[in-house]
Amino acid sequence: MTETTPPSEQDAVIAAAHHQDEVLVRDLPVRLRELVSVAACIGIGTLILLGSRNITVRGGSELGPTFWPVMLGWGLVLFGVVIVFNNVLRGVRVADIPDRIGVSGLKMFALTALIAVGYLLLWNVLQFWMITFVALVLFTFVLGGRGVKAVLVFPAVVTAVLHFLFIVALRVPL
Amino acid sequence: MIPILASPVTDGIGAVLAPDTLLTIGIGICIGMLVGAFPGVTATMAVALASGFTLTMEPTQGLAMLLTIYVAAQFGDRIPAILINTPGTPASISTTFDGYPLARQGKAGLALTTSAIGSAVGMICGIVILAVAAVPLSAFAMQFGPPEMFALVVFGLTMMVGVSSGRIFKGLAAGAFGLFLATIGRDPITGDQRFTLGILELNGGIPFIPVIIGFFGLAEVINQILTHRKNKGVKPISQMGQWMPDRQLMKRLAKPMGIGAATGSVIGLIPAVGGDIAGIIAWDNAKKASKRKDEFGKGSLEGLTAGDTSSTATLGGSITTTMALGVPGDSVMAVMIGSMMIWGIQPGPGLFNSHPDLIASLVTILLIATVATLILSLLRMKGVIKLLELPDHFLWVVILVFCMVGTYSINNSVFEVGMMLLFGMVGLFMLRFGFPPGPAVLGLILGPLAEANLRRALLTDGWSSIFTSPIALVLLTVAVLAVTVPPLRQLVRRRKEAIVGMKVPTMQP
Repeated sequence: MTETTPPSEQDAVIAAAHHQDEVLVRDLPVRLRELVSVAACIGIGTLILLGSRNITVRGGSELGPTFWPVMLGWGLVLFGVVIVFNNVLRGVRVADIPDRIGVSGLKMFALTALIAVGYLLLWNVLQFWMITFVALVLFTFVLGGRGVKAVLVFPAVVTAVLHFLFIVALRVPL
Repeated sequence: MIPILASPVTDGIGAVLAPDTLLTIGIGICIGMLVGAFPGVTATMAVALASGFTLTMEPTQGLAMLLTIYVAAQFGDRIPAILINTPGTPASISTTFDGYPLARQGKAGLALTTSAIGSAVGMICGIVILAVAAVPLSAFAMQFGPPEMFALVVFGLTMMVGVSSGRIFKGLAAGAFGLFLATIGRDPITGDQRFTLGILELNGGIPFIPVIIGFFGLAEVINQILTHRKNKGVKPISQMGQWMPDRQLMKRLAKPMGIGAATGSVIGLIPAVGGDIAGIIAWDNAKKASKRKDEFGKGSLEGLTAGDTSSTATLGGSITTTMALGVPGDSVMAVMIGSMMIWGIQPGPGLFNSHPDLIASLVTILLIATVATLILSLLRMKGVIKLLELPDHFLWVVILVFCMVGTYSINNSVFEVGMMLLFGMVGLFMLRFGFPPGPAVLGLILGPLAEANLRRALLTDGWSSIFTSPIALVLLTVAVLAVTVPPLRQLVRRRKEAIVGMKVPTMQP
């Protein structure tokens, strides 16, 4: 347990607030990660430029419906190139490196996604309170809840709150 | 009944004092305090989730709920910062510097109450700024034509990008992506279809509330699930000690509160700079001005109150620029603009002309929320400590289901829930790869305004219409400086260090 916020950490936060220099990370995995960002920018930019060709232009004005998207598409391509110089070659701040994804986290995410899609598909098939209660039980169990209170009482209370808020108070046709 | 003293001010106050609105304020305070108290739930996330169910309310009630959540979260987030050394929201980063050391010294009660008093003082300074500056600023902005409006949107986007110094280019890319999302649907001038892929629901454009909920709600929760580690939690400190500060201590805290209020008020007027940065800068300023510098970082009540006063003082300025210019002061305000547009309220120049009672309503909502939250904060909330021990999975489940049901309730559309899930994944990608979601949301909301005004300006008089307008020129110059100065300054510093033979900082072995 941290006794106090370490002075070095405070200095780093204050330095960041004042836009001062920070330590940069330049190892290979970080550079490869940054290449994904570059690919995303250039890829989306290119898709926008290609998609703009399919827009029907009436009147042939150069300031027509394609003007703005084409500008944005080129902008994204340009930012992708700049990120190569700024992030891939120069390195990134320690604060910009996200927490590592764990195997248990991936498993929980995959199961949560499955339950969420199933919940959405059954929304208009089963009664809202019923499907919501089942989904909540499954969500809680998958995300680490154990015991009667967590797996039964908590979903029942949340279902009741949702039913009251959305169906009774806000009259949403669920 | 004949309204004897009818005026925009009394109308605005009266609308807030209606029982229904007061009830929503009360609910908003409870939600906001809880949101602030749970680390990992940001005010932006809470306001985004709440926008799902407030859209069916009357605009005054909906605004009251969203603003109150925002205000109360600014008080609630100090609790985990002081008791478990974890900021409840980014705005309380500076609170951890001295709050947690104070709690370890057995002064948690005193830290909680002085922090709440400082936050209330900051909030009231911010409200005064809103009351005084909003209408003149809005009147000034009424002179804006298409070139100035385009420049204003660019200014707002770049300011939001510019504050994230290390991520400027990713911020700009996120902004451009948001602007692209706004082009999907019908062209704002000719009405031609663009990028709809034959999907009928996209003819009206991408609905922004599902995108906002996906970016700020779902993406955050999934990221927390993916990076979850067992036994990561810290047991909160339960020894509270003395609660109320004496008169002598309050006298000593007046100076750091003043420094915090001044710092936060100025920083709040800069669009997109949030309470986190303001709190840290005020803490640093108070340290420089203090006679007890050595206490800072080790348990200084001066440092604690300076940071907290400053971070809440930004709120008034942030609301002022949002309402008067249509440029959100921070990411919470970007979300709020989305909700307001659905209620038919377009923030920006002319807002206070079309809704003259709004300024009085806003000030009244904020005052009531501040006073009520302060009273709640001064109560000895030992129950909150138990909340801090609540396992993460309860919170994740509630947020996940609220994201889905809240999105559905906007237009009773399963398609929009699907969009929310899709943009949750896009938001997750952005989070993992360092693209800030704020500029993307801002781009999506302000995109049609930027495009329509740029094209109108160009159709009228070409690029010269922009470069001959002094206001547009100033705004664009500041925008360019905001994104170019920080990296250039770093480059120059690195060159200087290289010249004098200093090693460029790197973690590479």
